[in-house]
Amino acid sequence: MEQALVQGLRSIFDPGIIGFVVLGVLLGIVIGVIPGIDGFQGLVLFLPFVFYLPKEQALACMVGLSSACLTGGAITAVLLGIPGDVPNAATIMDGYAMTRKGEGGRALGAALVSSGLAGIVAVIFALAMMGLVRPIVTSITSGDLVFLILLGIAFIGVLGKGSMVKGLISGGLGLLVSFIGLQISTGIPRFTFGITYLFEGVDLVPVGLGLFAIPEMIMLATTGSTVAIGGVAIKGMKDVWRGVRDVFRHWWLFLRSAVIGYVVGIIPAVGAGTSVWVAYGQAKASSKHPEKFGTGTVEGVIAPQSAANGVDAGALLTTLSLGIPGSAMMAVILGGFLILGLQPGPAMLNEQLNLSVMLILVVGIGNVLTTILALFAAPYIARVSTVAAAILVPLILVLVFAGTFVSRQHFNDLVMLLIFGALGLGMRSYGYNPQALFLGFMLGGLFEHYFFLAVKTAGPLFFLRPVSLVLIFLLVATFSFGPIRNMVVRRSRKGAEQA
Amino acid sequence: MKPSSYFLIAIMVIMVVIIGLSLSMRELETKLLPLIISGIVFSLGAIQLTKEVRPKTEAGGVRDPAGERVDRRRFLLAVAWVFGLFFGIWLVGFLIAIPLFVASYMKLNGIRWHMAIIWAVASLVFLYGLFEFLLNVELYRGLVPIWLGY
Repeated sequence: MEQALVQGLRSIFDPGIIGFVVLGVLLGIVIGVIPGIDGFQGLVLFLPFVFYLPKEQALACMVGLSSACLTGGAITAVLLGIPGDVPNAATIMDGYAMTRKGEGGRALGAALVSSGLAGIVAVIFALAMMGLVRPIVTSITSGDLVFLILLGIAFIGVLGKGSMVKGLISGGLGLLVSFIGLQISTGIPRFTFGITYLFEGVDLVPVGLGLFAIPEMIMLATTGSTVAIGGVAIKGMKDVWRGVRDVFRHWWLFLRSAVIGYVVGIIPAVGAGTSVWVAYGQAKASSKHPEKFGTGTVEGVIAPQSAANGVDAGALLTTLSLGIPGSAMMAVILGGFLILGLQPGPAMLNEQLNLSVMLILVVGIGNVLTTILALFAAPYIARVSTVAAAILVPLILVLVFAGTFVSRQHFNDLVMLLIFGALGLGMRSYGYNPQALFLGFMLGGLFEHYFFLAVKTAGPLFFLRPVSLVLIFLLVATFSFGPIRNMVVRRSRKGAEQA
Repeated sequence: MKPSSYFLIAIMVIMVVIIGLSLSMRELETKLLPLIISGIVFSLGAIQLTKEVRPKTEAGGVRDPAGERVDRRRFLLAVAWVFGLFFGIWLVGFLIAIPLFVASYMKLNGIRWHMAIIWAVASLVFLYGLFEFLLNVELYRGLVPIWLGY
């Protein structure tokens, strides 16, 4: 292992490879920043080039790209309230609120540094746990995954902005939207009303952009102001460094969140989307001022962004060691492996250990490079939020519409964009939780698949397993959190009044 | 009744429709989860509606999440622009609708002509360059050009 580590470090600093890592990082930042194009699409577009490149360079570029995307996506999440990728939806909660208060630089600094450092923490864990990931992943059953998905939705529904009931309604709506189309095991169309376009289900891009970007741009056009109220998004590099210091000030929160991201991230498919909300939830629950979450508190940026970037190394390790992609981006990287004649699985950690270690190190290097590049560009990037609405709104709408169409090149996706835009506007105006809907939509298909798999393999009492019972306990605790906290606050107020 | 209550009632009506459609499905695997989830959402909606119809004054109108009231006319105009862009793309395609939209929106919102045109041209170049040239993705041409044979 030590030899593989040394060899991996040597390979990574080879000019031929580091050059491709830098290229991947730059592409990842640009892709992450453009609404409508996410890391998955960026990797898919890069896939044809894999045929023409040596394997180390090709894979290093792809892994670098995937590492940079989430950090790039955090930039638009913080400055414009538009998630660059699914996990960035959690960063919007407080990151965008901070920009509106004129603390965009601080939010960016915190998001970027927590991303970079979380990548390093995750790499350390991945290298240390290389021998353990297989038994951990194979011990988690479908039943456990059902409750993990429910926990993620419950966290965001209960602990997000607005009332718990509205949050849970939003999550439920998301699950129902995911059921549109052909049912996964029976192949029977549901809620399609005979429309062939809906047989494939509703696409992710129009849902995401419709829920977040369209309402945001309409509100911006209505107020006619800048994103940063008062036209001040950032008070120079000092603001950015303040955010950087915040990460070290909240080092325990950062570490917990990165570990949550890594641990939840090694679970195939559900990791990235769920981990950020679990991290956000635990940050809010453990904060001295939980009522400030959602209004623009830096802890609400550090927690989800650390978790988001903590996922990468774990997801890559699952992909390498089991041949099971840990995330959608890893599924494309898996495609890259197969094109290059490499077979992910146990052999990757034996015969190809040097390459595996190198790729895991690329995740760390990619995160660090992204953070450094983005940090120094942050004061300039943050100025986007002080651009007049008359200029910003049409340009963002152009990207949103084009990005939506490009996803499947289907005009009806633009119709979906408008439908979800209207829904997002209504949810925003009346205090519902579009992030909960989005997460429910993302995970609905998996939830159904694992649910029926669990029932078929373990019977209706599939939840009677230690891991499932712990997750059920956490679910109950999540639902009870709000009412118990309110009761405690009321009692302490009564006590103070009587005193 | 508050506007938010109408929104909630609309959600509950949709849940009733989903429950009805689900009950008409034959296979248990197909209908079970939609039935359960829509039932739960309907129940939660009923709880929320009960809270909302309790007498509590709240002014109507569109609200920004910050709680400020926004100008209804400007709001409707902003919505109209979004729909206008959609119909423009549908009729004449991305490559014509986008520069027209950018130029007209900017000009009508106080940006000078020459800047509006520069941004319109820049967005066209960006769209064509990135999607059609680099990524080889054909953007939607529009009903009229397609009808005219382009």
